[in-house]
Amino acid sequence: MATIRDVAREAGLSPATVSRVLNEDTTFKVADLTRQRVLAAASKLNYSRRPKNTSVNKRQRVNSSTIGVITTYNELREIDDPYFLGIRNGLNQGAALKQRKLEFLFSLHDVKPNWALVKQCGAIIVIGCIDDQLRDYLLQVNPHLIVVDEHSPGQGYDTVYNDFNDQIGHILDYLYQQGYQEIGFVGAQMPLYNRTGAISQYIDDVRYTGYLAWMAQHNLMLPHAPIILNDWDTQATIEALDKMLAYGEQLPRALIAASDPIALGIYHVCQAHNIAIPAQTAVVSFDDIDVTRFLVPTLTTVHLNTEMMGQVAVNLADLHLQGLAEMPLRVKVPSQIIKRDSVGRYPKKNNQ
Amino acid sequence: MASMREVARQAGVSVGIVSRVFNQDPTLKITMATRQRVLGAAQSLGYRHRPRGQQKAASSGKAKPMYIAVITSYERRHEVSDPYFLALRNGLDEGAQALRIHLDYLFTLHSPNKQWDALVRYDAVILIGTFADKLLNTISTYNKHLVVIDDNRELPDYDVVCNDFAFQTRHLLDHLYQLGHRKIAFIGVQNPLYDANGAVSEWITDVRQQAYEDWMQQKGLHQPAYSEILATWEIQAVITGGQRLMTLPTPPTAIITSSDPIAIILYNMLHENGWQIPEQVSVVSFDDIEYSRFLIPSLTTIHPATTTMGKMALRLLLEQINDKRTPGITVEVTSQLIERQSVQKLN
Repeated sequence: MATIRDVAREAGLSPATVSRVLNEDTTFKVADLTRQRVLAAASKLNYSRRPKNTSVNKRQRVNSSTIGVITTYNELREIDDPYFLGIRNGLNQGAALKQRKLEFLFSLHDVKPNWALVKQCGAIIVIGCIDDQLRDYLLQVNPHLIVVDEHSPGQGYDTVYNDFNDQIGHILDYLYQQGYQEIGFVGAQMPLYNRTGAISQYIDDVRYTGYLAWMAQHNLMLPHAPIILNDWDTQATIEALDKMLAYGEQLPRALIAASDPIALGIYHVCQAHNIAIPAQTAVVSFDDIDVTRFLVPTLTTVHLNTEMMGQVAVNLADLHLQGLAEMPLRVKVPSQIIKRDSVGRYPKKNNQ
Repeated sequence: MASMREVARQAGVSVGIVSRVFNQDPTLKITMATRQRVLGAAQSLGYRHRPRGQQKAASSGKAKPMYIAVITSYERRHEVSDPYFLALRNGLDEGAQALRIHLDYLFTLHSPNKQWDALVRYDAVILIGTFADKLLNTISTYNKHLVVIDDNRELPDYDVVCNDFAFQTRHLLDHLYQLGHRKIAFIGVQNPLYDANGAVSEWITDVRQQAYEDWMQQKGLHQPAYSEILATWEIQAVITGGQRLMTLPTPPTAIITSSDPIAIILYNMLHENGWQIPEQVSVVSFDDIEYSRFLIPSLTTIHPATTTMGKMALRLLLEQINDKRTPGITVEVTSQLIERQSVQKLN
């Protein structure tokens, strides 16, 4: 099995640097490029972080005043994904404020997740989208369940979710006010994970369903279907848009990207094909990740307070630990549209 | 005041060690240097040790009593007779007692003398009802710590506690649909947004009505004639509206009323005219007031979690004040469907 030394050798860096990147040492500033080198090397060698504490130790440290956290993310994605990192920070901050012990129990992708720990915790927080069977199973084992990112009501447990369903409507209203009517959407399906960490099904995400509902209500549905990718990534976006342009189609006058990595793909394709943003295609996105600050023009996007989602999840768990949880609660966390330069006014006098 | 935990963290030892140092546990084996670290940390953090048994009292005494003002948008007459509001108030009072919070029910928007600047002196303010956006803005200039109870609109700048009536309405409709009903009517009341003078600045669609209309549209069952939206809670208006529905060429086989008092008036009207509940028309409602189970037939209704709403509102304020959390979250509590005898499968 690959060790940190092996990864260091492969990446051409010191083991100390590699260790700090893979253990998410926040006191150590690492250039993005260096971080990428580490992650690429780790991925190539199939490096998997051996937990410092074995399962046996974990069992001794977990009890009814512990909040257990289960994630659907695999280790390498955990380090790279700002959404997850934000929630994780929020969880830790929340736990410190409430003076509660928080333990990251396992990821569904772990080789041997220790399911016995689930029952021993006072409350369980799940991060990521899980399928109905897994939810029912978890509820059975531990009824004090909080799920982050579940949007549907009536689930029978606490949920924390973002207000993207409201924001997609606001974005469309904004674009419409600026004169845009031909508004496209590029998004991806939401994978639901099962007990073994595999994807058991895909569901439509709320940005997409909200977009469809708004367009239908305003009678502006585009003749061709919105682009729904298999993966929330830049490369898939580029391929899909390149294909569309190769068929002689044009990009719509405004495009909503369901997430910033998708927006990056749109920018790339626009640059390659000399399509001006926003003069020829306006772009709006979700996430507000760091890297978009370097885009030209700067990207209009929705900023979500992921730390608050983590903190709220812990506050809900705390109610359970105090024995004060009377019924399922749904908590919606707000986000803000950050208006930058990728949306202009729809040019009226120019040729169509 | 510092806690043992903070001392432990600063000294780099476990809480157990700190406790044993201060309780002078003779079996404790640590080096002089470590002991010095613990004592040094305690001193620099201002930790004061209280012997066992008194530790808990000390930490709960840390919370100084809080004073919270309550303002409602309801009219005085409603406040006294509205069971929903009374239940909310009970929840607040119960929660406040447990958390050592003093509640002052200051005024309603319809009171003659509204001393807005009194709000500055309170730790936080609870708003109950639907306040116009401009008014909410103004109130937040008097006091930053606000929570709004019972507004179902999107209010991303404020902490809000609301019920899940949209979901419950859809759930009721699914239930009626499964029992075979297709001609389903709705009787509700318009929802006013109040300004600083207690005047109506805007009428908004009640959340149950919106959910009802959307659901009926989606199922292709919508008939404008089936929506009876009253301007006010007048008895005669309910009677007239109910009669209009039942004398339509295709009268409804099920009626949803937005609150139990409306259902009670409807029952009266139906009985007087010889219409049988639930054989000819099923009735289902919201509120679950005391009397609803004594109606004949007993009324199927939605029981809102008003007590929980009050308690959650107080928690949210404590989070804002103690945890310094930015406001803006919306907490939706779950209501319960109380199935009684007023609903029947369609023959």
